[in-house]
Order: sequence, then C-alpha cells, then structure tokens
Amino acid sequence: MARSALDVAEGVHPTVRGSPSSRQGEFRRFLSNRRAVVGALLLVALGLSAVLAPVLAPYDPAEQHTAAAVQPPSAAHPMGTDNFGRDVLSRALWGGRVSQLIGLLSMAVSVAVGVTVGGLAGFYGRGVDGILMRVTETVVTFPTFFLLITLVAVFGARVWLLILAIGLTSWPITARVVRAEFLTLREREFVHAARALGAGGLRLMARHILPNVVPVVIVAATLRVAYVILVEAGLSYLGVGVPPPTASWGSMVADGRDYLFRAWWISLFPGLFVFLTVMTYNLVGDGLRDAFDPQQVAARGSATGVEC
Amino acid sequence: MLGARVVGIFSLLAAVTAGSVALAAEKVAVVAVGATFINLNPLTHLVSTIRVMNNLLFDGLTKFDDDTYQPKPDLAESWTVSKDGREYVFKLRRGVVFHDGSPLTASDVKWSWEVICHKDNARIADAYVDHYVQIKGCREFHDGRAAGVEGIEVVDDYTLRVRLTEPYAPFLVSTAVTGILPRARYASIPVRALFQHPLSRAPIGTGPFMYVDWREGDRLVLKANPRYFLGKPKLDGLVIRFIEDPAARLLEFKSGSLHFAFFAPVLPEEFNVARSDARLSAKAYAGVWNYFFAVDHANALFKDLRVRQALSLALDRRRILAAQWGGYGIIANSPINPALPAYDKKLPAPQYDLSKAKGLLAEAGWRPGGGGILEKDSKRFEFSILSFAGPSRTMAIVYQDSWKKLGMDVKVETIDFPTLWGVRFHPGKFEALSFLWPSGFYPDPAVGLYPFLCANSRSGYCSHEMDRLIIAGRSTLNPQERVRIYGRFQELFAHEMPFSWVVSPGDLRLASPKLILPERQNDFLVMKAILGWDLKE
Amino acid sequence: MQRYVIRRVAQFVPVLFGIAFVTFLIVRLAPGDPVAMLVDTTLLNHEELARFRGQLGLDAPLPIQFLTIVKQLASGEIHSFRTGQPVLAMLADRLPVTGVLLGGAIALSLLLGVPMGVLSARRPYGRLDNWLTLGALAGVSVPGFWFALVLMWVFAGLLHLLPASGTGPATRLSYSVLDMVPYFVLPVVVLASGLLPPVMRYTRSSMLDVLAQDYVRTARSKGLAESVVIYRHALRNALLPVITVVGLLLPVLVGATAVIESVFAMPGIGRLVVEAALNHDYPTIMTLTFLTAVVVLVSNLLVDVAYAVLDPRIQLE
Repeated sequence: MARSALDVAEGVHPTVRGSPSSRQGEFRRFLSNRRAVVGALLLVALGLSAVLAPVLAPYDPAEQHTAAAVQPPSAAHPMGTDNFGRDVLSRALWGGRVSQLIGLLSMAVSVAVGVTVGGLAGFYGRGVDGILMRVTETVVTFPTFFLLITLVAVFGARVWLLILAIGLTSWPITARVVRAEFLTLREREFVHAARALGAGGLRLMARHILPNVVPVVIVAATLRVAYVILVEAGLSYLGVGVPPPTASWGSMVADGRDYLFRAWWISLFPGLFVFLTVMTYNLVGDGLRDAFDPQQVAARGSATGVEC
Repeated sequence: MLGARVVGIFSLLAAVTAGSVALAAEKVAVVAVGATFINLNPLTHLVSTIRVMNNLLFDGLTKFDDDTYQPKPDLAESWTVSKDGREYVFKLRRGVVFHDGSPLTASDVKWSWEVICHKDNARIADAYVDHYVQIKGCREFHDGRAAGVEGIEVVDDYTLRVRLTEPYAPFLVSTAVTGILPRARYASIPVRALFQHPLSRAPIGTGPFMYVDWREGDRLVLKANPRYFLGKPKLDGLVIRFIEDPAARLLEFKSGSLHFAFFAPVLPEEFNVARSDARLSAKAYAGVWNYFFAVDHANALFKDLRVRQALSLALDRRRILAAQWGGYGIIANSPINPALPAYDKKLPAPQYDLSKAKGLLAEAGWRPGGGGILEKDSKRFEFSILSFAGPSRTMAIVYQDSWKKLGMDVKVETIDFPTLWGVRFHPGKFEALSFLWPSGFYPDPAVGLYPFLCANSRSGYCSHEMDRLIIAGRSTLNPQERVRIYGRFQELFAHEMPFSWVVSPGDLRLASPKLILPERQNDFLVMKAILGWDLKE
Repeated sequence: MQRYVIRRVAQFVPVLFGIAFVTFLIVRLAPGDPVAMLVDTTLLNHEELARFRGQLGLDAPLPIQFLTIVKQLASGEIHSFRTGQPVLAMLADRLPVTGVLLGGAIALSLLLGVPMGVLSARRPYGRLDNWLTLGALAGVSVPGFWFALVLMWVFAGLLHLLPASGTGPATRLSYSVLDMVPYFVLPVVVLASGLLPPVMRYTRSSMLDVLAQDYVRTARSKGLAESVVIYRHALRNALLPVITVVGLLLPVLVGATAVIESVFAMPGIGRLVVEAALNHDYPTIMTLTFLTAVVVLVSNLLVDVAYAVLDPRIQLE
C-alpha cells in the first residue's frame, strides 16, 4: 500500500499483528516494563492527589496570609508561600485538579472526534476519505498555538472554551492512527466473513472493527492527555489560560516569575508538577504501546513523536 | 519584495550596527522600559510612554518646572496673557532648528496644534477633549466646519497669538507643552495616515535627542542633538531597551549593561537587597500611580452610598502597602497630584474599620445568609471585579480577600488591557474594576478630570455639583480661588466616591552607580530632566 | 512527479482558504468593538467613530471584509491595527531572530539526536537505550517556559555564565554577530530540548528498520565491519524519516518559540504572535496564521518530494 512520507514518519504503520490480541500477554508485557509500571503508579498517585486535594491540602488555596508572604519551604509550608501568603503546596494540589480535569476532558473531545473522523475515513474510503483527510490536513496545518492564544485572548478565558479549543485542535493524530487501523482491518478475513454474512456498514464497523482499534486509541488518548496538560500550562503561563483565582500550574509559574531570584520555590514547584504529570502520562502511554504491540515500537518511534 | 527584504535583513544581521555605523559614541546610557511603544509621534496619541518620550525628542512652547509645576519658557522665550485669560501671545526663540536642520517658526506650532484638533486624528481624542477644545475654532475645525483653527494665529515667524473660548488655567502646562513637529516634513501626509506613517516612528523634532534607529520590541537608539538650543546634552546617546521581565532587568543591572529603568517595577524585597549592593543604586521615588477600585453606580448592589463606604472601609490600606510594597508609598485619597498646591493635605486618609463597614451594610439591609454570604431580598452579594494582568490583578485579589471578610462573594476577572480599556471600561460594562490613575503625570489639578463629568462618566456616577466644581476649577485663573475650589472638589469626591482610592505605592527604581541622575520626585520627572544626566567614566 | 506536485499545490488553495476563513471568523466574531480598543469611544461622536471605523475598513459587511483581508494578504499590503506598520515589514524585522533560534535548535537536535539514536539502535532495550528513552520522554514532558526559567536562574542568576535576555549587548551601539552568540545559547537549548527526543527516537526506529533489511544483512554477511555497515548503508537511509520529522515539527516549534521568546525577551516572530493576540491586532494575527500555514504546507510538500526522490520504495499517491 502506498504510503507518503507523512504516514511513515508518524508511524502510521499498518498493524502487523499475528493473532488477535492476547490481553494476558499485553498485561504481562506492560508489567515487565519498569518505566511503565512506575509511570502507572505515579499516575494513580497524581490522580488521587487531584481527587483528594480538598482533603490533602493543608490550607485553603485562596487564603492569603500577608504576614507569611514569600516564605521559603518550611515545616509549616513544605513548598513555601507565594507573594500573597498562599501556601504553594495547597495551590499546587488544587491546580492539579484543574489541569488534570482539562487534560482528561480535552482528551475525550479529541478522541471522540478523532475516532469518528478516522473511522469513517478508514472504513468508507474513497470520497469520504478524501474529504475527511483534507479536513484533517487543514486542522494540522493550522498553527494551533497561535489559534489557541487568539481564541482565548479574543473570547476570554473560560475553562470549557479551553477544553473545547484544545480538544478540537488536537484530534488529527488520533484520526490518522485510527484511519490506518481501519484501512487494514477492513481487509482482514473476519471482516470479509462478516460482510459475507450480510453485516452492514455501521454495524460492521462497531461490532467487528472498533474493538480491535481500542488499544491504539488508548495509547493515543494517554498521550493526548500529556499534550493537553502541556499546552494548558503554556497558555496559563502566557496569561490566556485558566483565569484567577483558580490556581493553575501554568499561571502559578507566571506569578512566580517576578520572584525568580528571590523566591524560586513559587515557580519551581508548579512547573515540577507539570513536568511530573506529563511525564507519567507519557511513560504510561509509551508502555501501553510497547505492551499492545512490541513490533510497533520498532516502527514507530518516540512517544510523543509528531504533535499537532 | 518580501524576499528582497529578508535577504537585506540577513545581510544587515552580519553587520549589526543599528544604523549607527558612523556613531563613535562614548557616553551612552542604556535605559530599560517594561512596555513597548506604539509610535513616537505625540500628535497622534497620548499615553504615558509618549509623555516620557515627548521630552526626549521634542519641545513644546512651554514646559513645567519639575518642582513647582509652574510654566517655564521652552520654545517660547516669553509670553503675555490677557487680563481675562482668553488670549496668549507667544514670542518664539530664534535660531531653534529641527533635527533635520530646518528652522522652527510659528507656522510649525500652528500646524502641530491643528493636527490635534483634526477630525481624522481619532486616537488623540482624549487630549483634544481635555486641553485643546478650549482653543477658539478648534471644535469647528474638528467638526469639519472650518478650514483651520481660527484661534491660532501666526502673527509673524516668531510670534503666535492663541485665543481661547474661555479661560483655561492649565493651558500653559498642558496644551502648550505638546511637542512641535516640522510642518514642512509632515504636512503632506494626510492626518488619517499619520499614525502608521514611518515618520511617526522615526520622528523629527527639536528635542535634546534625535532618532537613530528602532528595532521593534528590542531597542530604540537615540543620539544627542548637537544643535539643541539649550546646549548639547552631556550624554552622547541613549539606548532604550524593551525588557518586560524584571528578572532579566535585574541581571542586566548587575552586569553593568543597564543604567536605568522606567515603567519597570521592582519588588520591595529586591529593592531592599539592592540598597546594600555596591553594583546597584536603589532609589525610592514617590509613586506616579494611584491604585483605585471603581464600581458601577447604576448596579443595584452599589447604588447605596453606605455600601460603597463599606467597601472602602474594609480595606486595610496600611497593611496593603506593607505587604505588597514593602511599606513604600502613601495612602491615596485624591485624584490630584500630591505635589501640587491644590492637593488637600488636610483631607483625611480613608479609614479602615471592618466593624463599621459591617454595620453600614447591615443598615443598608444586607444580612448574612447561606454560606456566610450577605443577602438582601433573597439576592446574594456577589459580583466580579475586573482587572488586567499585573498589579491591577494583584490588587483585585487583595480587594477580593478583604471583601470576603464582609461576607461578599467576589470573583476576580482578568482580561488583557486592550479589551479592558476598550470593551469594558469605556462603555462602563463592569461591576467592579481594579485600576490605576496616573496622578503623578498631571501638572495641574484640572488635567485628567474630564472622566468625572456627567457627560463622560464611565461608572454611572453623575453629580452636577461635581461638574460645577470641575468646570469652575479649570476656568478660574486665581490660584487661591482654585485651591479653594479643588478643596471642595476633593471633599465631595471623598464623600461620594466615584472612585475609591487605595494606595499610591512608591516607585522603586534601580540605577547604575555610574549614572549621574538629577534629584527628582518621581522617575517621570527624572526622565524629563534628561539634560542633567551624565555617565561617570 | 510533476503532476503530483501540481496536484498538491492545487490542494493548498482550499486549505489556505479554510484557514483564512476560520481565523477571520474567530477574530471578527469576537465580542466587543475593535475600534474601542484603539480609541476612547466615549469621547468621539457617532460620525467620528463611523469615519474612523471606515478608515480601518470595519464598516463593510463581513463578507466584504473577508474579501478585503484576502486581497490584502495576497498583495502584502496589510497593516497592523496597533502600530499601523505594514505587517510584512514587522515580520521581516523579526525573522532573523526566530530564524536563528529555529536553525540553532534544529542543528543542535540533529547534531546530538542522530548519534544518540544510532547508539540506542545498536543495542535496543539495552541499558543505554533505556536511559536514553527515559531522557527522551523527559525531554518532551518538560514545559518549555519552566525549563527556560530554571536555566535562566541557574546559568544567569547563580553562575553568571550567560546573559538572561535580549539578543546582544545593548550598552554598545553596534555589536558583531559573535557578540550575539551567548544570548542565543539558552533559548536554543530550551527549544532543542523538545526537538531532540523525537529526532533521537526516529533515528533509532528507522535505524532498527533499516538494520533489519536484507541489504544490510547482505553487507554484514559479506564481512564488512560493523561501523561500515551502520554508517555507509544503514544511516543514510535511516535519515530520511528524521528529516521528515524535523519538517513536520516545524509548526510546533514555531509555537514553542512564542513562549521562549517571551521568556528571554527576544524580538522574534513568536513573541509578535503573542503580542498581536493579546492586543487584538487582527491584521497581524491573520497574516501570521496564514504565513505559518503556507510554510507548513510547503515544507510538508518538500519533505514528501524529497522522500520520494531519495527512497524508490515510496510511491506518492
């Protein structure tokens, strides 16, 4: 099947899978990957810390203690306080909720659109594929970061706007990956068999192909979350992300920039949180990909190879 | 065409000289500024950055004394005022030349002032409305009903007669200080195209410094004007660098590659450390900006004066100064520049009294409801306060915290400055606003008060008494009478609170010990006194 | 080949049109009057406002406005709302800085990333490979703006080895290109930190691909030294996807420069985008979006063509 350079580089390789996936084998492969396991544990920990933030945070993230402003890390404030006297640790925990929530919801939007577009394109092919791929190309060509900054600067910073905007600009890679899977699976024997038995379009797609696409989608989804969290942090840093008083990791780093040399902790810890969270999602996504299809690893390349 | 430009730029990169190849400059002061300039033409718009640059590149007929704020000769060596204050006759200095060598005459002044009155010059509307509309014929010219401004008359090359429709007390320190540009070079440009014209970015004036080069977002290079009528400045050149990041500025200071900074806030902690750093010179100036909050007077929440009073009483201004600005600065209580005689020194500072505030709210019918939030007629006391990134936002967060103690549910909304300025502030689309007032720039109590007139009100506040006082204050020439009028004005203001003043933090500035700076009250005046700047070897 | 190129270029048009249209919609549908951002609308009467709006072309119906913008984009005669300058002139002024940043980042990533990828491919899943993979994952996980601040703090604040901002020593009115080098070190490093991991991983994966190929096995069996096998036969072919990756990551890099240039106060195109967005400078936003899209499309096409030319196995659809 002819491939363009684009496909090859993105690792959009037709899956070469011998037998129908063996869940047990995949699970074992994942567990043997130490990086991935550590990542998964951290992921759970971060997720829990976000969910349990109200319980875990020692202070109210918005409470100002001006007498205790700009304090270095201490027993009372393990990550110090910012210029309003707010506890950095508490704000970081609460900020994690916002960032991870945006990450997950945005991923959901992105995956939903990506799977739909990719599935339809891959399954029906020809004309539908052509149009959908043109649409995908348009979205990819869009300088997304510019677009996001403009969107938020122009319409105002709202969490749902951020979720939608980031989600609706990051689906192409999922779409391409899903499309590739559909294209190959369409030609497989069990599909031919089902067709012969009279199964129609959508039913065929949903019952026979979709379940096989799930692993690829899970990997893509995990990596999407990482990307979204990074983008949201960047936007918040520039001032076009989550509006105050909600603590967001990106805006916490921006707030601390004025104090960089005097009070490094205000910027350091939130940034560290972003780094760790994104890293865990990448570790897990990478590990999942290894687990689902080890051959794919050789062909594909890096975890977050080509982002759009 | 773009390709040629790109190639051209790249070859320039190989020999980066910023157009100053011939310049063998020795004493070049480097000044950082925390905000970019739009252009350098004072006839096209009036913002705080332009006010500063105005003094470097241009001169006006007059200028004001840095300490007394009284008018002094600049391009005009003398003037006479008629008894009724409606007619001024200026005698221009002879021998003044523009940066391109052409001589200054009265027709340059007439042309420059007419540009401000011109109908196509939309962006300078605030200057027009504040201190040009009083010139006889300016309004007619602005409305397109006259071919020129009748009230500005060129008697001869060095004599200018200006007639006003009514006496205007700040005339000599506000209208007459605007930079003069050469008619010969600019008149052929249609006024509507002036704003974006290259000559507005590379302007020609008479000032002590001349334009050399401007790399957008990077630096603006000026060199000393050897033919300046007051003598060549001691500095050979001035480089203005646009550095928004305070950390970067601090590093540049420490490494000796920066000499001064304006519009460049320094943290009190940094400032205090800098005082004992031999590499730095730390100066605490009086603040130019008054921080205030405004509310929408048409909003049911804020209509009641007691509510507004309560909002003000809840702010512990002393603590805010101490916490946010290390104690530098004063509590603000008036829109008038504290250095002016009209500033009422006896006006009491706004009080801090939390229980009194709560009492007033209770009197006004607000009682704690669900979740401790005040309620009245089953309406919760919740609103959002608008701010833009920077100190405006910081203060909004401080206000929010203080008002929380009263039982109010306040959200801080932060948007970018252009949106706040254009879309929300001017049409009055806000519930509460955290903003800044540049009182330190105003050389006269009448300047800048036009937003408090009923006709221009942004916040829905309208008082005929205040209108009367504002108009009386600016059209009375007797200084003692004016002090009395403005005393009453400030009293009324403090009572009715169209804006609630909070603090006027000191401007903490870093400088290089190598730079010899004239002593002035604030950094705007320091920049204005550029002729007194010098660099040690 | 020619037909393919022509066909692809023809496909540019609807894509660019779509992008221009969507960008236009976003900026024009924004709440608020753009004129209000430029002048104090309470001070001007209706007539004056209408006239000013007309000067800026904002009074025409939306479709006409769109066509005007398209015409302006095509002719290059488009002016910023904020400063009134021609946008293309502003871009040309800032291009060198961003160009050097991107060029430096790409060069650094290739210089370091390719050898690292080759090394990891020699012993896949070995210790070195595992560490490099971890490093790669870290590289793409670290937020650029934060990494920039950390480096700035360490190298400029603590160690005083490098300058913190700007593009050259400002105290001197003229300085040479050599003087500018220290100012670009930190920004280039931060930019490269996002590009190096993909370069490394793609080198690795395509090396593995190639190393498993028949002709390499043949070379091995012929008794050629390992290094010869790798460098003469494998590497050349493995480099193709790597070049592709760089080309494809270009739009992402441009987005990253926006943040990096803001942190290091460098007057580049990325920073211009941020400023334009925050200032609602619609003409500048539209021009930059459009031009970036053009660059992306052209570079995609060039990469595809180069790939097809260099690797006979690839058929262009």
